[in-house]
Amino acid sequence: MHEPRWTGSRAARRAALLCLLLPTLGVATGRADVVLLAAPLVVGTALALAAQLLGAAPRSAAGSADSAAGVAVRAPAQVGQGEQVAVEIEATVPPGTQAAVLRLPSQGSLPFGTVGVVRGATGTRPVTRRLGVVLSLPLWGSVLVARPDLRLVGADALVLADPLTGPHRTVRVLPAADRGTPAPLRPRTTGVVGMHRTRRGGEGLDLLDVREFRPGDAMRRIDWRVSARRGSLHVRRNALDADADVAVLVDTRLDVGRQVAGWPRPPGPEGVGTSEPGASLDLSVRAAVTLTRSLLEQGDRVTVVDLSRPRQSVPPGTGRRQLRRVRARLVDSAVHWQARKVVLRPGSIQPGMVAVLVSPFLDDAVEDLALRLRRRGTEVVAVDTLPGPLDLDHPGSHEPVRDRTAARLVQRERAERLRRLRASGVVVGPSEAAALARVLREVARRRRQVGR
Amino acid sequence: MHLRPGSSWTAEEIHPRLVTGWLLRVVVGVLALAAVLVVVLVAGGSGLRLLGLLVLVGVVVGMLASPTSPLATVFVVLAALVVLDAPAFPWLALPVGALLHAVHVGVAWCAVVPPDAEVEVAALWPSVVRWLLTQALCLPVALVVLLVAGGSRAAPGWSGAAAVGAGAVLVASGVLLAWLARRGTDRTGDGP
Repeated sequence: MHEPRWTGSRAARRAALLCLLLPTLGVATGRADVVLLAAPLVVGTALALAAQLLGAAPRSAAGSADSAAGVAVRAPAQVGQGEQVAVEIEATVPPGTQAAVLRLPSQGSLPFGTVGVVRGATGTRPVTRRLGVVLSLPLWGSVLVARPDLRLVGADALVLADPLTGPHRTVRVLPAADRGTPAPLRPRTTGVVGMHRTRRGGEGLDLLDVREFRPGDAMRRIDWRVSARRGSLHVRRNALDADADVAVLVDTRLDVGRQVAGWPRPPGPEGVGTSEPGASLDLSVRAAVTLTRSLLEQGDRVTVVDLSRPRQSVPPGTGRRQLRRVRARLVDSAVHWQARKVVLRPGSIQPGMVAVLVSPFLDDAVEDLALRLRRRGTEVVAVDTLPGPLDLDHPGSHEPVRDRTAARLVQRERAERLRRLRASGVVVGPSEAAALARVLREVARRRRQVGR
Repeated sequence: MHLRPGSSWTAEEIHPRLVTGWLLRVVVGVLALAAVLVVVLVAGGSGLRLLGLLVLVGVVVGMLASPTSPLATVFVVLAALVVLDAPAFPWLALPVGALLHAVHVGVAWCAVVPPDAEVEVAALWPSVVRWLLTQALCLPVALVVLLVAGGSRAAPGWSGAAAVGAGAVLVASGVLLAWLARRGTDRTGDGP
């Protein structure tokens, strides 16, 4: 809470000047009409200031507790990206105040929105005025939604209180998942019973084959009809249902947008998150969440690895809780300026796992990682998160031709890098949900071909 | 960003009647231009008339674009200078003074309220009521002053009738607005 300190506004100075000047001018020239011209100004100013003084008298008698002003913000601690968040600003207005001017939160990352003016307190007790705003936050990360300013106005705006700065209020905005239907992946038998049919015998529901009875086979598996037809005991063998293990590797070393002149982008407003929807970090995190959600929904085990901060990685898991864990961890993703090379801890990618590499592929480090994984026999899917089409112009550049040429060189290198990845058997696709589904279907198809 | 669309006020604690800072500027601009027209076109005068008209219109636009500038002071001083040049002005001095007072208060609010702000009308009620009270106090005083001191210079015809009519309209509208303000107080329990 804050004790308001009232000062005269420019209008008060204007009123004082005119209240002296015009009557003096009228008297000096002997013109009663000029005096009358000033009369409403003089009387009105006197009435306003008198009302302000009378309002201040009971306030000072009541003590500082009743004359303090304050501003507070209420908002949920955590919301999903794109969801609506209700922000309520609560202003405590002391008596003797004609109006309270509040700066409201804005849509997006900047807290400086429009201004709302609410009525003040005319009685002898302070009153609480509430302003509510419903925002839709397009960014994920730790987003500053409100830092309201409060200014008290009295006596026809002739007196103003010093502006009071409200508290910063940030909301954790969890990255949203795009709706997508990634295809079933090649299963791994080490997991708990999952949704994918394997080519190994087990306790699944699908029939794998029928073969002759061997010692140790369960009696309940005997297929009596086939046994009668062939004259010897035969058993039905079912396919083993299992999970697929997927490692989503997120490259957080860079955040680049469509405008090449702005590369690399600075960190988000609170040091985490992205400052621009549609930039590479935003696309990477959203693609990772989309993949994770779709894979978890079909019963797969997913681990998410931050390639510049491996300690931030999420260990393998299944179910909705794992999705919550992944979203909560990715919300703190940030551009990691110091990270030059990608870091993958030994044992992060187990044999048989599918590695999904999410990156804008702007340097060789991430290509080296993909090729290393391929050499180990890991199926690798590359999800390209460079936003496009790129704007190569550098407005205001002293050497536009040189800058444009440099940007084209980077583009060429990147295209060559992706070509080499495809040649080594890495499936490459963009980050849209539909494209992710196509890429994962392609992985599953290849594995089936290899299996035959 | 504006509150609309995509976001909305929750009207529980806010009086639902809102105006924007732009509307406030329009109202102040209309009042200022009315004062200019009365001063320059009706009050008569000589060579200052056309020059005053042009200058005052420019000053009105300037002070609304930048309410914290000293242009509002310039506006009133120029109006006073034009008044000095007008021979048959005394009966209109009070209505023009009332308009200038309204412009003065309006510009003071414009300096506090940005154009895209949303203003609860109830916050402005005390200023409106105070303005009406001011005119109600000034009217009898002005009549006495004009009759005793400056009345001999006034043309007794239409301008006097206009001044009396304007005063009557002011008093009637004051009563009406005070009644409306009282209604607003009763409804919200904490009005102007």
